[in-house]
Amino acid sequence: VTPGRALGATAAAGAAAVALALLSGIAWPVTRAEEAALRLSLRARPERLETCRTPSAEELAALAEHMRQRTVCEGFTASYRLRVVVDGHLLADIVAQGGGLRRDRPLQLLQDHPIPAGSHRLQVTLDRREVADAGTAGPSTAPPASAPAVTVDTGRYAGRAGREADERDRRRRATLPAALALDTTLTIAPGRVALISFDSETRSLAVRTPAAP
Amino acid sequence: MTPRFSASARRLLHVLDAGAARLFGWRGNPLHQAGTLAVVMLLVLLVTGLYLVFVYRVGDPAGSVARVAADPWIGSWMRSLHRYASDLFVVAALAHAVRMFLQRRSWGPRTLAWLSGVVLVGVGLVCAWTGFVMAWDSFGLRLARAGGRLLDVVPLFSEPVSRGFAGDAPVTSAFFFVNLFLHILLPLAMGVGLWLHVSRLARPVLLPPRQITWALVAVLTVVAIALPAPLGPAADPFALPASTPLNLVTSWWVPVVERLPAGVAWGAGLLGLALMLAVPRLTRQPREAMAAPSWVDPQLCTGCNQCPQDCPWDAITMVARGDDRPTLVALVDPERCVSCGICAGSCAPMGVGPPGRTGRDQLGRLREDATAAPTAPVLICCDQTPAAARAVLAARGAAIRTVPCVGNLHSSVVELLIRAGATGVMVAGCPPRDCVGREGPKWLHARLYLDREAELQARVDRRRVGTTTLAAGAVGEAVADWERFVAGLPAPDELRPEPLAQLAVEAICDPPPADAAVTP
Repeated sequence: VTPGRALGATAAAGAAAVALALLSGIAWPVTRAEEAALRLSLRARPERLETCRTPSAEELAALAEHMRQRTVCEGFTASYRLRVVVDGHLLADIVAQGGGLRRDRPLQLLQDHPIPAGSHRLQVTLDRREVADAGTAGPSTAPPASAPAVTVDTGRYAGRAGREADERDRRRRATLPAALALDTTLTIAPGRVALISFDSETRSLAVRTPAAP
Repeated sequence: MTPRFSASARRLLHVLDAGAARLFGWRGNPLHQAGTLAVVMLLVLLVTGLYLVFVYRVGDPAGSVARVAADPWIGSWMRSLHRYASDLFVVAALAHAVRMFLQRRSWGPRTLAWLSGVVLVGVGLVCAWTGFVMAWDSFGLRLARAGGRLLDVVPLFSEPVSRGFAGDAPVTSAFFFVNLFLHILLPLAMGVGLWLHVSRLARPVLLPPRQITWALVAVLTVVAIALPAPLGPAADPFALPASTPLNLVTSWWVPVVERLPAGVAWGAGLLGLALMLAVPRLTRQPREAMAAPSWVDPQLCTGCNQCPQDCPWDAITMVARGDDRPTLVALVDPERCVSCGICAGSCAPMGVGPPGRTGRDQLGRLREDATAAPTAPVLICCDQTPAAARAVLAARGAAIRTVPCVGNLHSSVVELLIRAGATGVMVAGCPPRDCVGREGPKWLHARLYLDREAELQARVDRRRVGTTTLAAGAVGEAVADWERFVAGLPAPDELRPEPLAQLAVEAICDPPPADAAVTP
């Protein structure tokens, strides 16, 4: 190998390695500098719209003891309409449903919408689409009016009616309310994201605008 | 693959090879070493990765990587070298795949190597994905989101993966632990894949020559020190960066996937993968165009065990004979044989080889070819050498003959040519690392000079025999070899030419066993 070739080969290998290094970390534009974004991030159980009834003594008697629910509810899972209006302009109008094939899993929504940085009036509404008709109501919170005499719970089943009612109430509290609204002024810096989510503690829509680090 | 495409592919390869050979010489041509360079990069990744895994913290991924990147003594260049080695692994593996494809080495007995190679590159890209996520900078978050979008289409997880990076809650250490686990597990799987990749090869060459290995590592290290791999700001789900560092080598798919619906991205990816996996099927030659596998004439086979030793594909085994002779007999596995013909050059009694290309066939053809009676020095070239290079040597007085591979050439052909009047015979092979028969030049040299079976007989004047390498872009070297060879040839008046047609095959090659019934 002549010195000239060795030098040329080294230079070529070096140039190739530098090209590789440059390709390894080029700055790829993602957003415009003055841009900010509104992130809609919801995770909540949709409401069950159910018709509840108290089974008759005969129906209960036909069931094994551990299956004798004091209140039987049948129905479907609600869907919701989310509307986001920024400074009077509709930014998003989304129909959201629960997950899973039967739509009875938690509702999941994750979307980013670019908006200009600065102060904005933000109006967000989340409304259940289905109207509860006369025969349909949300899960009952009241315990059944009266348990049939033949199924008075004793032993390990004592207090079952109350436990069922507690469970229904717990589920109801974990679901999205029929209507939610947020009307606020949002100030967002360039390059930052404001997060709109459902706060399950306060059962309300919340907006977070973390400051730039 | 049509003949026109095949010829165009070969021309393209010669052009690329010529460029690389002019820069690096044919011995250092990186295009011939692409597969082994990929293995070297895996080793570099292993060494640098071992260091990095000890300083990485799943509880503080961005912070620990930032500390490594800020350490000017070891951390910074180790991390950069790790990054650049992963990039070069992908580049080298793709170059290797393209070369195998263009050289029609992607089907038949090589199908397993092709399929495992495709999977290796795919696993390498996934491994790179986990590596970038480990750093948890703005690009890591971007990759995590892109991956999350893709995974959300697959009904595997009870909760959408992409929600984990929305900012509702901090990303858990468990995520980084699983990611680190994958980043370590996948290379182990690649080790198994590599074993599978070369499992059909005898004496697989896994590393390039030592000088190339160290030169490459040195160059990459210098670049890693001079140009540290960029690290974006720590991942912040509430940040909307104007730009992120993007690795175009291993993560070129990210901007594409971000713009496509996840289902379409999956569809495109799976279609691409299916096409790559279907290459062996799509490029398979029609049966009549396929080179037939070698076969063994059991009457001629002496059971010397040379052809199994020389076969680069482990396609020949010795088995018990069906007759009462006390030796074993060679048996070719047609599923593994690529018809390279190297066994033909290894067999002293010329009883093995692809149909029409055994030693006997080569000698027979030479005797029948009236125009073959040589008076000038002969240059026997591998078919794969560039035609333009052969023309250059022909213009310098070489009587050119070709063979499918110099490893296919039986040493008796060299003897026959000299006995018939050739003043000298030079054999020009491909660069050893670019031999389609894998070990043609190696075995040729051993047979001509090191008495390896089937050796060139001692009665042949070695001054009249030479070898050279005829590589695209390095024709000058072969020309110089040729001119030196011709200048050193003894005077032709020492020769006593014998008419080719009168030279019996048995006068040249080893006689077959006494009890064998042979039809020459």
